[in-house]
Amino acid sequence: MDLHIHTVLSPCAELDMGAPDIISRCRKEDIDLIAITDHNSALNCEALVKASSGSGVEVICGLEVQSSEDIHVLCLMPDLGKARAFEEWVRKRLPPFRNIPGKFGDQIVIDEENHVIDEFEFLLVQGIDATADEIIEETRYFGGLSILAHIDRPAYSYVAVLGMIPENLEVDAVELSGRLSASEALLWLEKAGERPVVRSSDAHTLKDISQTRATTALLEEPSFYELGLALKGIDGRRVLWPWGQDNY
Amino acid sequence: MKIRDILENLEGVTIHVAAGEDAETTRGFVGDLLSFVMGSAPEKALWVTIQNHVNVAAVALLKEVPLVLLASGRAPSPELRDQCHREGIALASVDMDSFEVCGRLYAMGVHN
Repeated sequence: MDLHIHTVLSPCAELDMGAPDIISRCRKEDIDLIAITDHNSALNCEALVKASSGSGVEVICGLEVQSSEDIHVLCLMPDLGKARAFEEWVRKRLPPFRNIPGKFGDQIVIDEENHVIDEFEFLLVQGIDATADEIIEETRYFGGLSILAHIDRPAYSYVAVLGMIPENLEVDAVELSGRLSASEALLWLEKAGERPVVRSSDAHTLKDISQTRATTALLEEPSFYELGLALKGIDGRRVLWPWGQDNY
Repeated sequence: MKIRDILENLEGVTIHVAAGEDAETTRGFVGDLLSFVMGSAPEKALWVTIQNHVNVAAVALLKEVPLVLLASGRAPSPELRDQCHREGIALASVDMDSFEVCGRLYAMGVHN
């Protein structure tokens, strides 16, 4: 599974991140559960869900929310409806700073065949008016799953900004970057505490999506619900240590 | 300089936790990214920041910070205020921004 993938909606993502393109890349890489997590928005989730129909790739609708402290939190929602409602909550807190496509990149809303429906007006790569802790709590309130994004990065990471993850923080998982080597990843394990660790691509272009940046989980079937069980280690479902499989 | 004197010499100060005000300090540090502060701050330095998360208290304890000064009028989160109170770490807000307050502190003789 790869729980952190951007589309053409995120201004920093490449224009190859279209709906059928992402699905076909995932099939090629044998990844059957993904989360679409554009910055502060879920506007392309419907396109990806429709494009995935019959493909064998299950799409979870999510967002990568940027907090007021510039911390990234992946917020995965149980379904498209909840993702849209959560996006409303985020949108109300997004400063109305207009995007400048030439400077920041395009923010394109597409349908499942990559037809352009709209361009989102306000800059998505901004911190919203909510702290990381508040975003995590709100995600839980919506029935979603929250993941601290790329805690190993020197920027936009909970650990870089706030130094440590409080023991009582009710976040569902912690993400380490797909780019880390096995030995580097082990050094970060300590910061995760008892929480499950996932590895993701944070894909901004198609070639970022790869088995070597994915995570294996033991699930009855690829679904949001099963993922929730795996993150809690319930009934035999679990997330495997991502660097256990590879030799690099 | 005593913490008490430093606070009296700044305008627009709101004291949230009055503790250890007789403590002397001659050092200062500014930083908002806590991992960075943990790695680089000198010991026993007064800390200027806009970070108001409760983790600031843990880092302040680690670095024996005598005073946490929140710039740009930032109020502490209730958790931060409570934790500083528990740990006896002086905590105050000041209206001016980090740059300005650092300048004033430096002029007062607070430098490393």
